[in-house]
Amino acid sequence: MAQIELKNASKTYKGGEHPALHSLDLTVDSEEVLVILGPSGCGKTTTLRLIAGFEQPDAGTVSIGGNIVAGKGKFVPPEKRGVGTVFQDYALFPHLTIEQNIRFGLQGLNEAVQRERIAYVMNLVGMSGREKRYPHEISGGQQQRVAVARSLAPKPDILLLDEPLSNLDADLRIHMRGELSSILREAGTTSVMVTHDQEDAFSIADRIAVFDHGVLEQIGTAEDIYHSPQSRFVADFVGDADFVSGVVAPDGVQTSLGFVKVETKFAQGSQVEILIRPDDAMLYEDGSGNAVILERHFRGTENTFKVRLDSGELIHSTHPSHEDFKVDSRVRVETDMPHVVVISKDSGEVDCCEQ
Amino acid sequence: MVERPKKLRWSYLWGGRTPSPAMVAAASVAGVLIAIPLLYILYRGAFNDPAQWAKLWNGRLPGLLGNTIALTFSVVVVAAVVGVSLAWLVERTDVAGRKSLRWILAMPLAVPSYVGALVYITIFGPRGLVDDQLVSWFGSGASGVLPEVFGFWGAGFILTLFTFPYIFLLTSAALRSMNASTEEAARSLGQTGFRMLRKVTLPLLRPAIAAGSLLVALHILADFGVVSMMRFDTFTSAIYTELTARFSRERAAMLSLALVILTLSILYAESRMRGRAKYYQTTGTWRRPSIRSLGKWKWAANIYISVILFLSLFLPLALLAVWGFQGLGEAGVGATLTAGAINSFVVSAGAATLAVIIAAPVAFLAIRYVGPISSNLYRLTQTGYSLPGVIVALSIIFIFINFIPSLYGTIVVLFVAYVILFIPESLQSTSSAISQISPNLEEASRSLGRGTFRTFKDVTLPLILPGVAAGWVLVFLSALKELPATLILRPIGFDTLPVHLWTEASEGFYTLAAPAGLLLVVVSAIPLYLLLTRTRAGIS
Repeated sequence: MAQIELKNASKTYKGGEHPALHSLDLTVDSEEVLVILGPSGCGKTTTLRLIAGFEQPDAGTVSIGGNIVAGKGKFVPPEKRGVGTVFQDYALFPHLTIEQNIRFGLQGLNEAVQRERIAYVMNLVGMSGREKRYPHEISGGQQQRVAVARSLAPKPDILLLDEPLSNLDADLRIHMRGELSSILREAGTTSVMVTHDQEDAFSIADRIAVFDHGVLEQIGTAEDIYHSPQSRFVADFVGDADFVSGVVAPDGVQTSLGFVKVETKFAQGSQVEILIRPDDAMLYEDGSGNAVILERHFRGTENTFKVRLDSGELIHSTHPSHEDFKVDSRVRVETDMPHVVVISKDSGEVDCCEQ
Repeated sequence: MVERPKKLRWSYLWGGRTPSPAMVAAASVAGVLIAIPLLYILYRGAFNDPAQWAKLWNGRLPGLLGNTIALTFSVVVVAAVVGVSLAWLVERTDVAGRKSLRWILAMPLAVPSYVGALVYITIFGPRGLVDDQLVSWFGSGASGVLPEVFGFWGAGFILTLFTFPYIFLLTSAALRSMNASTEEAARSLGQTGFRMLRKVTLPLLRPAIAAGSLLVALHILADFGVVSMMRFDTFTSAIYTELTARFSRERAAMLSLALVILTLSILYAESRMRGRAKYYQTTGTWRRPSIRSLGKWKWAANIYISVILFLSLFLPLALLAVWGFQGLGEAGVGATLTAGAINSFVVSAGAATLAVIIAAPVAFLAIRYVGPISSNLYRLTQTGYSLPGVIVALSIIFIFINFIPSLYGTIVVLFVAYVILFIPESLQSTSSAISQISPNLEEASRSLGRGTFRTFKDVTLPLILPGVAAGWVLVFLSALKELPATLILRPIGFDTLPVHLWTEASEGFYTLAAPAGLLLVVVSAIPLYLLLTRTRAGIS
């Protein structure tokens, strides 16, 4: 199994104003499932294409298993990299049956081995018995499984997945998250998956890399990224987030939500923002409270309330659906935050503190 | 700090990824094949003895220039009036038979214009059908009272009849795609009737009319058969005469250079006429424009359409059919016709196959590796569209006689000429087929371990095969009808159907020429009909 390493990798597309990827340093450990998360145009797909060999880096290197495959005057073409790819649109060959699609990557092996591999991967993705169908004769979810099976069949060292779940409808998507996660772990391949959906990332990833504007903003476990974001972008992009202004005081930060007790490295008196997640803010009915309910969104097991503080700032708060508040009613907001994220307004620097 | 190794600069020219060297080599075949003969002929023309140029300028050149421009301009104007008016009648009024007229009015394209010339000379020419009839009624004094069929008017008439469908097709396609709301908005602003036609509809159609007129103009500039049968001297017939009667390749090259310059100025004029304004539909919701009732004018419109169709389609078809079967009965025709047909099919099929193979890598690079090299190669490969057959033939003579004399006078030169002239047709259909395939399919194949060549063979090729086949048919048909380059380059005694027709016609045996004409029309009509009625490019 192989480790992937990108060093100082940059890529600017022709006609592109900004680099799609800017001096990226990224290491994916052997047998790890890394998910690259970011908005569209953040460079996540470019990273995937550089690893696959569909694009060449303008600068920097890409190594697989310790060997440079791109950069320093070397370029190993995609077919010689041992990298499998699952495409967003699955890219199944429409003129070939499911079996022929999977066999496509097994050329050169003897017939018995080919059959054994086909049977193995078809069973792995739960598609046995549909070998003779053509891609257009099976559903989107099944096509997705076949695409995974096809790319795993040649036992690639590395598997790349480009938004593999984005073409599935909501129910199937949640189901396939679990399936994909277990298939990847059973295959034991080093995997890199790209998505803009944080729920996909949370449920599949060993580690998550958050990209923005061609730059790696942060890499870490789902919990790291969620609770200890290293930048305002990560805090904002991952999970629902609101920001409330405040001033650093001794032992905490004075905000329009009240005093938040925290030990921050920022100097007293400096202007900061505090990250508020919807589950950080608790509402209490209080006619003389500091906020008004603006909107109420029913979400089944819970309600999300959009609240306007007297300072004019907006935050969101979720409550179990039996704890209901009327729109326009006045409430008191209290915070209960095990992790406090303080962001300096001057430097944009982030300080993550346990409370 | 940004390191940029040399090798990668090359990749920038291809849009960031380097194609395989084998693919580049394959594509450059097309470039070499087309660029070298053309550059060479232009070079020979331009760097000729200045005294020769002076002589030409004081002699034939002004007359040829005048003739060519007058003919081109007149035919384009009349064809535009006919084509646009027919398109408007068929798409916007309740004229009878609108649905079928959509394809029937395009069918004159299946009649090679020199076949049309043959038909009309046989009817109205000296000792033609009408002439003979007059003589039999009024005695020999009646011979020659008919107005002269040859010359400017005859050539212009024939060329208009068989080229107006270019403008008709493009204009009616534009009318169909025009949104009803555009015209409704104009109407709500108080524009009605002809004012609206002039202020709103016609300006919106301008790009389509310009493109159609360009096709007509290029057709006339390249036409050799009609002008020589109609004995009207233009550049093509003059180049042919210099080459075959006076054996002056130098003067032919000079005339060719002048013709190329004329062609380029027309291409430039079209790009200016098309204008910088871009015409976009404002919304995605398309509604069918309303159909205008012609009322009492309906019969007049139908008579107008019938006259056009009678002249450009039914009369030629009927007479070709009658004479064709008569001619087949005459001694010896069957054998020479069969020989001509076999030759025609062999060289056309060979040329179509070559064109398809040579165009494929050019199309592939232009779609998948977008960059200055691939797009210029694509453009170069398309020049054959605007090049008259006589010029291509002349450039091939130069190259083969000077560098590969052993192949001169073999059918190889015919293949080269056909490929240069007609490769744009296979290039277009192949590249539109490739552009419909997701590049992900090719990337999937690469990541499953197949190299560029295997990927092309196992994935791309099977998927683009229908488009490639369509391109093959188009090239085959064009090659089948090709006359001037074939006349100049063919091996001695090698008759194709058009050559057979032309030889018989030039000796005045018009009925002996008819069977070949009939065969050519029928063979071209079937695929044209299918193209018009079955594909999105056509009517539907």
